[in-house]
Amino acid sequence: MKSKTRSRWWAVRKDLEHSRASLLMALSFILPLAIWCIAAYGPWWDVAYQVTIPAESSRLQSVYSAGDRLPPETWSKVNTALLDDNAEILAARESGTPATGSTRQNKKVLRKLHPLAFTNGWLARDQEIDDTAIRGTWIKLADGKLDDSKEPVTAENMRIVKANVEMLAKAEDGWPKESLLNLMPQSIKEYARPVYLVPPDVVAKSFWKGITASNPDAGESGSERKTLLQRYGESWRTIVLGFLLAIVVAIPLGVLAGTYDLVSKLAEPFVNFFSYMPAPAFGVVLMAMFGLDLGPKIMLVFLGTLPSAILTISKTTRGLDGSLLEAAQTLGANQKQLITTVVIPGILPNLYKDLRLLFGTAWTWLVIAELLGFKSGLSEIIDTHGRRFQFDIVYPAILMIGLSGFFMDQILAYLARYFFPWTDQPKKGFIGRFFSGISGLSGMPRLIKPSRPAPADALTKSIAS
Amino acid sequence: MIAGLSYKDQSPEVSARFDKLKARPELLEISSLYKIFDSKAGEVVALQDIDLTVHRREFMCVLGQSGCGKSTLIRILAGLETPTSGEVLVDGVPVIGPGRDRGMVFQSYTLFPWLTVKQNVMYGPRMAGKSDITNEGEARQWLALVGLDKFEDSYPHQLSGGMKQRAAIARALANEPRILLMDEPFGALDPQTRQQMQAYLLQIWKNVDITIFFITHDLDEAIFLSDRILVLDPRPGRVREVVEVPVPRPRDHEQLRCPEFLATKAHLETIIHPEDSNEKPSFDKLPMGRMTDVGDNVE
Repeated sequence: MKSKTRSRWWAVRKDLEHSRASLLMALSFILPLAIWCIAAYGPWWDVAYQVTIPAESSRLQSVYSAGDRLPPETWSKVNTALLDDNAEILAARESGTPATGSTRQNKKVLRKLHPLAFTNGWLARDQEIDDTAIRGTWIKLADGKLDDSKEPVTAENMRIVKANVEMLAKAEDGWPKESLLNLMPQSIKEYARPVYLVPPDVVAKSFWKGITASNPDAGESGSERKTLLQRYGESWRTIVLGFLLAIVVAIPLGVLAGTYDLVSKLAEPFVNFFSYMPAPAFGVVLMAMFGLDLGPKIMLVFLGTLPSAILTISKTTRGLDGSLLEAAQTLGANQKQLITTVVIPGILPNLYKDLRLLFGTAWTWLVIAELLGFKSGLSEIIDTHGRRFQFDIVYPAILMIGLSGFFMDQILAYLARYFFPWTDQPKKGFIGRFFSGISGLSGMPRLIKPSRPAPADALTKSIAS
Repeated sequence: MIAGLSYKDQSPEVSARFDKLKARPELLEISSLYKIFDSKAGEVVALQDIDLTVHRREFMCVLGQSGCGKSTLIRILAGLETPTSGEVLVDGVPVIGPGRDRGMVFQSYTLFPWLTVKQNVMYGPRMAGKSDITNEGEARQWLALVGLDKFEDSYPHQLSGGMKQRAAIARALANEPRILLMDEPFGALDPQTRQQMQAYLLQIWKNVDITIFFITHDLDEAIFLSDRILVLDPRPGRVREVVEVPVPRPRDHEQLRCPEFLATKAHLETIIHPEDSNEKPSFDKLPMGRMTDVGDNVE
């Protein structure tokens, strides 16, 4: 029977309706994103123009070179100044008495293209005053032979380039006697945000670039650089190996400690003490023992996970309903059978839950582990680029760790209902809804029949018969 | 109370039945059993000098207030606890630990949640190393006996309380024990289901060669089910009396109003709550005024 009256939003320990719950679950992600967007795109950050084509003029007191950040009013002043300069040159040219320009002056005009040419990869960094090369670049640019996708040349500047190249062509091998037109200054409009506040679109773009990049970027230092995905693969390898190693040791030990007081008393006090010594503190020891490559990293994840895994698993084992053991004993189970037929199957669902949680914490150890010896994995990206304040590269790496942990956990939680059909299943989580949505859409047959409580009248009938 | 009739008056049929019963071999012998727990407050005597003999195919109930040690007694019989002194013999063999000859049914069902109903019933024979093919066939028969044949592939959490307890009884019986120990098995069920389960248990008892040792604190349940009732006094737990129930068999719940039943119940009430009769609080003389404005007098 469905009641029309809607339940209240605020009700102590009451579940919300399905639609409201979904809405709130979506909001729990949308709200933080919105806060991030507001912080990054809000009107409170000063605008600045980062110069990419330098500007110099007799009308201006100072020279503005590439990389300078100018406030809007200065920027417009610079633009007007150069417009006026060019207008003057053109006016003089039209009136038939062109302004004379020294070779030195004209070379300086051409050199203004260098920063942009460097960014686009047309010229090397040290060709700043290589006038022949710069002149060649101008000619090629005018011919449309150069790709300016990284830092485009404005249409206005292309006209100036073409006009100047015409003049250069007239002068053949020498330098024209007339003044060349100045390149208009170019810049990238920027917001003076703190360096750590990278706007979402930049992070998204960087993330996309990271996961789609197929060949490693040529490193500035020349060393081979790995892509985000390769680093991500390294991280998975480290965490999976370390975690597997830890649970291979912890499960037998934990189950034994939870079953036999002897093992518990012998092992748990020390394990408990050991768990208070942070695993990263042993980093140097691990490097001395296992070298600088993968070894210490795996061992740190192992060492970080192991004590808590043993303690949790033994606690879970102890939590098994003792009356089940007594029942099994009265049915004739011997000591060995108690473990294999009661303890192990009995703790499996909770053990699985423990492992899920432990795997979540293993990511914490991973981040520290990967910095031991030769840095690897996502932490290498975080550390290397973080030191250079390249947070647009750092955040996608952090995000990947978060997403991996989150989705891994959700998928494992969802799979539990198929592994352990005898347990009372908790309400479907985020991913569970997603999956059941998919299976519902495609009409995929359910793997396991949904459990239905037995009808109450069956008892009466069977009694009556 | 009932004119002239005492709980000791047995009709000739009932008396003949008891003679027959006592002629049967002794299945369970408890002799001078003591159980003493050490606690911070000192020693607590849970059971003191218990002597009891149960004959084969007898239905024995143990009745007592909470804390009278009846659970301790049944746990000792099951072998889950060791007595401080004294001896328990089942079929002449001393009890030294849990064993297949004594099946137990707990109040909390204790079905293995990861096994289906059928697998639960097969558990005992499986532990004994019997082949699964015969086990499965036998498990089906036991489930049919308790009326759960349609639920053999259900998991325990899909069953109602009464069904769970029937599955637990089938599981205990499938091991073919000599005696079935039942520790307040119907205590968690609602009254209606409880009555059904009692009738059901008597049917099973009739059809299976089994002796039942049944713990309860419900007088009606004890009288309805048992041949004899062992009444335990609390603190220290010791035998107050062994009552032979004069109600004829076969029984049904209509007999809850028959004179033998009422006489037995009246007697049990006097021996089970002796101190209650002295300290009975008189609710009609409570020192309180009317707490609220009362319009009409309910009386």
